Amino acid sequence: MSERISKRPMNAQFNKNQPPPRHGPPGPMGMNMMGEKARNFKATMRTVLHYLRPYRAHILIVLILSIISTSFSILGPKILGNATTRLFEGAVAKIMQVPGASIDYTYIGNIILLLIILYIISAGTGYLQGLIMANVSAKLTYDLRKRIAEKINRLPFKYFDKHSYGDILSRVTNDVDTIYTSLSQSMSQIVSSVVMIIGILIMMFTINWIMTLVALLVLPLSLLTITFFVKKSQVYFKEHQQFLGEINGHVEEMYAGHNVMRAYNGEEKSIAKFDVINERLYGVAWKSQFSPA
Amino acid sequence: MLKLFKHLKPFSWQIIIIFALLFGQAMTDLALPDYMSRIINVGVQQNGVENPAPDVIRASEMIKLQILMSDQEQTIVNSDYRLLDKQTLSAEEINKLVKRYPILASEPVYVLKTEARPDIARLNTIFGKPEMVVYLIEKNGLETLTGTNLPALPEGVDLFSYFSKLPAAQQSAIRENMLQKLADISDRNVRQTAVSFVYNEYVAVGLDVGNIQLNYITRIGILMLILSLLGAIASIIVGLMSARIAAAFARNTRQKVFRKVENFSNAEFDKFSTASLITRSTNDITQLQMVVIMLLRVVLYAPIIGIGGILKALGENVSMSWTIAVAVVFELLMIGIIFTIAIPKFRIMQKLVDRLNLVTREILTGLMVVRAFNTQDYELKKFDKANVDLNDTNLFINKVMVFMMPAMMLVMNGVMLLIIWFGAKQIDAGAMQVGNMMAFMQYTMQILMAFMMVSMIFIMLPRASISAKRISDVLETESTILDPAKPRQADSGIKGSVEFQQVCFRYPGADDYVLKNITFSIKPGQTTAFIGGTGSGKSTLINLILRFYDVSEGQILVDNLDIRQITQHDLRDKIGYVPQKSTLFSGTVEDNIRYGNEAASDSEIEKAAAIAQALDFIKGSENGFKTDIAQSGANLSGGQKQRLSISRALAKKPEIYVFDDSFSALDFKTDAELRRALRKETGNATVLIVGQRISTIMNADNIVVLDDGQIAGIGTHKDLMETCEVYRELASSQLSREELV
Repeated sequence: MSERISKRPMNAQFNKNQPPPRHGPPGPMGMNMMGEKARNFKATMRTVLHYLRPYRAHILIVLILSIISTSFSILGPKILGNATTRLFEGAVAKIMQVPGASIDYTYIGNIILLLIILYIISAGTGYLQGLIMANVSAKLTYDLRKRIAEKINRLPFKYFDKHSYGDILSRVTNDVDTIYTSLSQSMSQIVSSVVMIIGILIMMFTINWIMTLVALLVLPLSLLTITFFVKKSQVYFKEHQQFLGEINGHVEEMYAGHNVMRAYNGEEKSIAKFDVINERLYGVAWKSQFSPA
Repeated sequence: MLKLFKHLKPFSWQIIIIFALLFGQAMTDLALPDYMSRIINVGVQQNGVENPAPDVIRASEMIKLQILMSDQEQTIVNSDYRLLDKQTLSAEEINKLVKRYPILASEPVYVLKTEARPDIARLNTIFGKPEMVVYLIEKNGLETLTGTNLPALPEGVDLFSYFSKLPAAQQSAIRENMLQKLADISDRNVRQTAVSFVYNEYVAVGLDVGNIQLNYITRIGILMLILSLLGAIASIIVGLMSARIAAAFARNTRQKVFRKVENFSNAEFDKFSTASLITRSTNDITQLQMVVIMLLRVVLYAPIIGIGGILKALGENVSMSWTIAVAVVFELLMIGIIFTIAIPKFRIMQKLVDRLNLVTREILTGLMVVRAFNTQDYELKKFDKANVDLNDTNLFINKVMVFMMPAMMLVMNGVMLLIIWFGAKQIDAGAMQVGNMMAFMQYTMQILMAFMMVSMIFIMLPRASISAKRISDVLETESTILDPAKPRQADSGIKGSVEFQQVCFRYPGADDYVLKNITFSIKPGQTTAFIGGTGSGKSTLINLILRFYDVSEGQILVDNLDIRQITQHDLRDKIGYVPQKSTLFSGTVEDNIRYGNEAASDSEIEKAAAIAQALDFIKGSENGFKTDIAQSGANLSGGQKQRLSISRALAKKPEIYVFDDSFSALDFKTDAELRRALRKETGNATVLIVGQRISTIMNADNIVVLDDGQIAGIGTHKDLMETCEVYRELASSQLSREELV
């Protein structure tokens, strides 16, 4: 008989990028989705960007709004600084008993008025940007779910032999949900962070370039410490994801095969295995979670 | 939610330590704005001169100041200061001291005695006003003192020498008058002006004032650095401990949930659904782990910093505390509004997700029917509705949440402007200094942040409490199928009999019976087949024998004992079950075959595989019996899985075999060979076969025909062909004319 147990899972044809499962302990089911996601980050990004193509115009508007909102919120403290400086000068002059010295209320008042307008615009554009992004990601997730549902109706039956319902269900709900949250939150966050960094740098240089340089000198130092910690925690993070995958795998397998497990009195065996993985998971869980924030 | 957190009890001590550390961290965080205020007020504004009481002062100036002091004050000053005079000092001493106080070369100076330093606060009050007066006179001339009843001065006469020559009574009268005039001026202003005097004096004495300023700022700066470091250390330890506690909490909860679920019967699995149980054992617990970390790090911290911040801000300036109140009220109002809008939607969300799951699951399970009847459009419409509903709710929540960030920022910025405007007035009135205003701003910021953090928790909390509820639902559910308190041992000597007596069954919570009045008995060693259309109740019947469900009425006897009177373990030990859907577990091929019988020898394993026609493909693969099987056997074909599943039952050597439609994925040839081998092997055992195809069961000793949950006929193939209408119909639809005979 020419039959063999294939080395790769049957679904390999659907998941070409997936590496072959590992053999030997600690079990081949350690490859959970999280690990896959991290590895295929670039490919994932490309896919997401592809889905975003129809919304190019929206995203451009979001970018512009984000730039306005962020630059206004950066400009704020700088202008506010003018007010405090003038206040400080007035106060010092009064103490020094300079004749006619007083605090320049008209100037400070004007600045405060200007700032009120600025802050309102900044908040308004910020909100608008969030709204657009929320709408885009909502449309996108709706489309994705719809397309999956339609696809289900077109897929050959053989696909369903090889994919559990749970797997397909989690694609429809969880995975799409993840895309939704990362789009609606991360996207605008990334944009405003970048604008923020550039804007703040410009501001700092205009206020005092020497002090800015000194502050920038500290950057490599903190980057070094951060990379040190990140590298350290990444090891644990990876292990954590692996054990988490293992334990989720075991839970899934045991719950899905509950009847067989019960029919063969496998409860104790299953719990014993669970306890081992659970203990190992605990061992790395707190290390990976701990970030010196 | 709270119910679950009682599981945190074992960690109470660690949580108390965390609380103490957070307290320390809050103290450092709260101290920092204070120091910053000192850098601005003293370091920058006062050129680093801290006290109105001078460290060193020219004797000539000291005389002027003393004129303005009462006798009692003068005595204190005289005892606290030492006069340095060229005349009374040795040359060596002078050399040394001139380096420190260059002016000493030309005139005598007073220096503050080291032992008087602890009393500096008293000296500050004594020196403050006289210094201010002298400073103002020297800077602006006598106009400063108009209205103090000072008699007109003769031309060219120094005010102070003139004053000193006045009679004592007049002196004190003028002094009183002057002090009264200064009474309106705030202490802060007096102090600041006095410090300006001291600064000028230091310049006159020849001290390096730039250095004094630098020293002051560096000193405070280093203090701030140390404080931040301490705060960081506390924060790191808190992070470490909270991560540990949360991980341990997750571990314990996960273990409890898993143990519970492993003993659930199918009724509980139906109630929760397998997918939901998986989420409850994995995602929900991870969610809670995050919440515990947040609780320990943020929820404990926020009140400390919030209350501390309020106290500190009040310390800076009481009259401006209303700005904080305004800010907090605004913030709470906003959070309140957002939550009253969003929280109900959060609850609905979970339901909508479940709904989408359900619809998708329906599409998946009914795929065959859907395609056969071409009802895709209808299904898609149903899906679309669930999709739209979920999406709309999601979008709504997001819109509300998106509103929060800019609105919060606006409140914060607005409050800062408020503080500057009203702070300016306070500074103008001398009630506070610029540095104090800055510190006040920072405290306000910290207070608002604390409230914001708490509100963030309120965002997480609804979701987390849903997770917590889902978990405690599992933990509080007791399995409906329990072992008897006093289990009976099967010792009747009968091995392998199965008897149904008037068994009725309906699923828990359902109205309709799935099985009605089922009565039959199977003698040991007999092969009995069950046949019937889809939904006739064949598989349900099998599930009852294995006690995956309990009968609703009637009873099932195995080996002449009601299966509810023996333990589930004993019952299932007798049965080798091959399910409809082959289920394998990750591990090797051998692990899987051995699953029901750990004691099986290698040759027994091999034999079981041989009977199930699995030996060829096992041996054909590289690692033979040691070949790994992926999760749920993803690397095997359907037929391979089925054969391994049969091997597993065979290796167990049970009294009763239960094959629930277990040959469906086999090709004709393998099927025939397997059955032949099986008959030989299972000779003494009772065999129950559920089948769809009559050709595969027609040789059974007994055939039970089920129709819509009831027995339509029992007998051999031949009997049934004559007596049973249902059986005849089934047969004629499946078999050719020749086979029928």
